Amino acid sequence: MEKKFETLIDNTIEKFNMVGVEIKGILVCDQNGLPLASKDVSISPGPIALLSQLASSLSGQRTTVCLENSEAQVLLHQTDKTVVAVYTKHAT
Amino acid sequence: MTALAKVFDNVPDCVGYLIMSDDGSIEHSHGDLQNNENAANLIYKMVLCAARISVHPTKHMAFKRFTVSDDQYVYCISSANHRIYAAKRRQESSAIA
Repeated sequence: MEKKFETLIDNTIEKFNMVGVEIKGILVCDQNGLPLASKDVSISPGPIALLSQLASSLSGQRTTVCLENSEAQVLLHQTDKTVVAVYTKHAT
Repeated sequence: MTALAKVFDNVPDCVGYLIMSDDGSIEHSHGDLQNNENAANLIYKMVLCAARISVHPTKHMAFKRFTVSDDQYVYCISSANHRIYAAKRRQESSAIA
């Protein structure tokens, strides 16, 4: 099952690279914060799942959260059963 | 006191803003976020949670700003000087190419 995740993650990284965005890491976790798959990430996903849930209750719809500073950013996106965190260097 | 709220005057498409102190109490609110204790509580919890998420996948780097976007609005949240600033702005276009 992990292989499917890894192929999905690799395909996503390729797509982002085609658009010119460099990905530093990807992390997939479930709604409770348990990690499902990760690539190049050594951070535990507990607060990521919580932040996504709080963001959805703030807006009432499915949301994308973006945390950024001057050098890097993380995009958190919630799907039906998981939360996906994408770490990039691309800071606009 | 109102000099603080003036920082939001130049934010384009702003439909509401909120300024909170670092203990979660509301100092100013306006527009969609005016008197919205629910949103203020959520934003406060989100800031506490986001402070623990690193922006970098391996080292711990804290955020300077974070945004919550849905189809219609985007909440831009930042903190400085023991205060939390949140602005609710209309999204220009929800079309994703």
